[in-house]
Amino acid sequence: MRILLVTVLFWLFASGTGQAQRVVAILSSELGPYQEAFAGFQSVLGMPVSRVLLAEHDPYIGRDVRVVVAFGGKAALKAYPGQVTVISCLAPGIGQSTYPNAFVKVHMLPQAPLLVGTLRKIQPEMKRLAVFWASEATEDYLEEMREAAWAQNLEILEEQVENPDDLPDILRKLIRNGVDAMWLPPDPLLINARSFSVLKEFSWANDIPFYVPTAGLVKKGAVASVSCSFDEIGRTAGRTVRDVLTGRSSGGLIYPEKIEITVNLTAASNTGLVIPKDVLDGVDTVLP
Amino acid sequence: MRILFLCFLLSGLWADPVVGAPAQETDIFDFFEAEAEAVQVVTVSRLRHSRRQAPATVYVVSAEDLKLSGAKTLWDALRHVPGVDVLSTRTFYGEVSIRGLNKALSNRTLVLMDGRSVLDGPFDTTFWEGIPVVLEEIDRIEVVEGPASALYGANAINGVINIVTRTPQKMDGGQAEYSVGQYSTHLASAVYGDRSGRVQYRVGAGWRSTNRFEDTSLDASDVGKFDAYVSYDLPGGALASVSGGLAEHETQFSTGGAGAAIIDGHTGFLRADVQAGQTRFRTFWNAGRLTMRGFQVQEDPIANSDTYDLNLERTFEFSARNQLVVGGSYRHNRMRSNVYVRDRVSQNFWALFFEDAWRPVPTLSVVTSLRLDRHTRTGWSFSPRGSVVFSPLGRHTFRISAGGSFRNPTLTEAYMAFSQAFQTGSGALADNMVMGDPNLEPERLVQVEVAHLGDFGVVKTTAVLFHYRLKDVITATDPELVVEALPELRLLTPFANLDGQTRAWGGELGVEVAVSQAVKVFANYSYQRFSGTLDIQASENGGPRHKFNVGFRAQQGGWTADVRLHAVDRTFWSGPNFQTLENPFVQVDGYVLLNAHIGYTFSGLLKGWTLSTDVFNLTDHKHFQVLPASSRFEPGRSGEVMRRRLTATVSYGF
Repeated sequence: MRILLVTVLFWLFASGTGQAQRVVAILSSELGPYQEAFAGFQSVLGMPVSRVLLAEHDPYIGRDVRVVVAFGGKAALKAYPGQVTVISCLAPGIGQSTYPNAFVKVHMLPQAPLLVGTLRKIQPEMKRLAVFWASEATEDYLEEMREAAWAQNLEILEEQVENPDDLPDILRKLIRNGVDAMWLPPDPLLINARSFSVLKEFSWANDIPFYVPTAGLVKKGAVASVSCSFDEIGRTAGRTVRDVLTGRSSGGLIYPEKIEITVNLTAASNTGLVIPKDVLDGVDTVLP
Repeated sequence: MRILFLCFLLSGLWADPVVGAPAQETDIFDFFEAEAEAVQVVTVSRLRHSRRQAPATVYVVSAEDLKLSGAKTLWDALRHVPGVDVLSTRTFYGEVSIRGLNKALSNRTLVLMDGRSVLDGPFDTTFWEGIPVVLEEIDRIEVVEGPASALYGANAINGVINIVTRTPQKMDGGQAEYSVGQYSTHLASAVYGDRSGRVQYRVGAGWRSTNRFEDTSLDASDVGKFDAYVSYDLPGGALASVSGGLAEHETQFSTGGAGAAIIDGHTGFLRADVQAGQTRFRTFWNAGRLTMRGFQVQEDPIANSDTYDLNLERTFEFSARNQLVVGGSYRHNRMRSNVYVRDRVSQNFWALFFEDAWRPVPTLSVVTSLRLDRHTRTGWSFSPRGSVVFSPLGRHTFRISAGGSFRNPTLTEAYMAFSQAFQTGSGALADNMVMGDPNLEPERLVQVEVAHLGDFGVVKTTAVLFHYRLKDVITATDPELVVEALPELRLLTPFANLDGQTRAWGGELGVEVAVSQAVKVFANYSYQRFSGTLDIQASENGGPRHKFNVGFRAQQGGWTADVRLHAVDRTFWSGPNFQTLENPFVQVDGYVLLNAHIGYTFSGLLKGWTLSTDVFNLTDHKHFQVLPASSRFEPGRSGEVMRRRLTATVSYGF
């Protein structure tokens, strides 16, 4: 009986190992967002997965590997063997693979209609929303935003920022044109401490609410974010792995389903925004 | 039950499950910065473009290329770049030129460090080992081919090489490295950079020493260097930074026909930058205190030079699809030398420039640049450049560009009065006077090029065709016998503008293939053909007509391997003969240079440590890259034989 039990357990674990070897998770670095997403990913996948930190060494991708889950742009841009499907998450600057692998991108944002609709609930009087962007990977999402905004009678003012140093002049132009709010996509060519500081100060000085794509930026002084947590993005990647392995998904763009709303009351107050109480009641995180 | 427990334990080890590590508290900006680390090209334009959309031919040598290629010098790191001519004239001295006309004291390629010129004061050449930066501080090297005076003024006559350093925040820690190798080679460096609140800082220091291939008991180079950078985030998104560096160097170099000598002294810089919104201000001071030792002259030439530079520019955005940069600059060059007509000479430069980037539709961009330079003595120079980039299909980008550039006479070419003693075959003493000419005109170049960039996933291709014409070439001409001085033997070697023009045709073809996740290969071929009047200090055929580079890189686990082969065609160099007073052209054979690297990066307990071995000239193919001296009466171009050099390196990142 004991031998039988050991044999069964051996096969169970052996098959588990084989499954694990079909999926490799590659983290661009040890930064918190990648680790949070990886934790979410593993909790959904429910099986051990080889994890490689790209910052330490290049991963070995064996012939039995079918899916690489790339956390971050550096991992997503690596060349992988042709049989591998690459699932990219937390790589907001990457539109598609530069290699001929099957490629699935897990977006950092919720679907555009959901985002636009939620922003509209936070600021019901919003008529004109300025959207800043720099990298080409952001353009497709903007297209969806335009359609969603049109359907909700909202005008989108797109501002391409070739250089973050250009922001002050772009903002002055916005004042002249009139704008009710600003939204920043998760554009890595645009978001840094300096450009954020410029936007925040402009927002507070001119009473123009400023929305961002992550809760972390709300803590830094933006009014609110309608976003997907890193954990949820990882979970979505985990579900996508299952779909790929079972043949239910072969490529494309995946949006996380669960959104997270974070509000900074100080920032809202500084921009003269009063958030409706029913909206505040449904907010996930309220920062004083 | 013990067996069961053992099975659990073993299976756990086997499957190597990794539970999600607790998320560390990370500044959200670190995440976005990490995602923004895709290569961005800035040198090719004052506005930012991707490499495919750049208005000129541009190649990027990344920090990873630098590290994994095993290159121990900056010029060796550039050998594989199509269209770039690299000459190792002495053991640890290199000359770099873009698209031909390379020579000792090369002065037609502008070399920058973070946008600051590193050309020396007297010769407008680059003493690569004297640049106060260590290799580990470099983020990338951008090589822009073709005339770039419309952006950078004089000396960017046929291209620009910009060494871009890593920001402290990107460095986020330190690295110490030590290499030891053949020919008493010792290369040590340490760098550290970090961010603390609004302040970012970076420091680097290095010591590099190696002996000569020809005479292993003598120093080829002995250099110590230090640099530091501090920036502060000002309110309103502005940024102010201060940086400086100093290199103490003693390196043997080739002066061309005047023999090999040693640069002994120090070079340094101080720099300040302020960026506020769309306005950028930069000022720097470059200083050189150098003595050239080893000439057959009564006293060693001394060259003390200072360059003061101010640059102000501002970007205007007319629409999201049209941006304009306008600006101006002022530079003052001052030099004191015991081999100049006047003890102390100076030059002033003023410039106004603009660049406009217009993208009427997503598939088309038009970039136009114009620069007007005013020089104390040569007057106005006008440098236009235009480029049309068309991407009708996602994988194909076509570009046509044209532009003009110029090079002002250097302080040496204008003011030198350098007397070199030599002994004739009969044993009599003679004298060769190298004379500058303050009335020299600038060299001027006009170039047209067409290019195609292909991006086919794992395969990336580059194809470029160019044609340029260079006129008013400034060069030291053939030595002339001063008849009036007979029977005393005197020669006069004057600098002059040559009549006629240099015409060049050429092209570059390149392909990079990511064979697999672990293996990448590249190959490229450069061709150039010259006619007309050429700089006699350069090769008679303008440079190697054919150049072929091929290499591969493999990474597996902690192992890295990189092998590069450079096959370079023959060249012909003028070699003065002080016995016959003739100056014939002599062939230097083509050569094949094979460089290799293998390394291992540890994980686990030894995390952070890397061991590697690098070999320059693996096959020990003894060759010359410029004409060597054949006797003391025939100094040739002072070339030195190249041999194999093996180094072992240990580095630690923290």
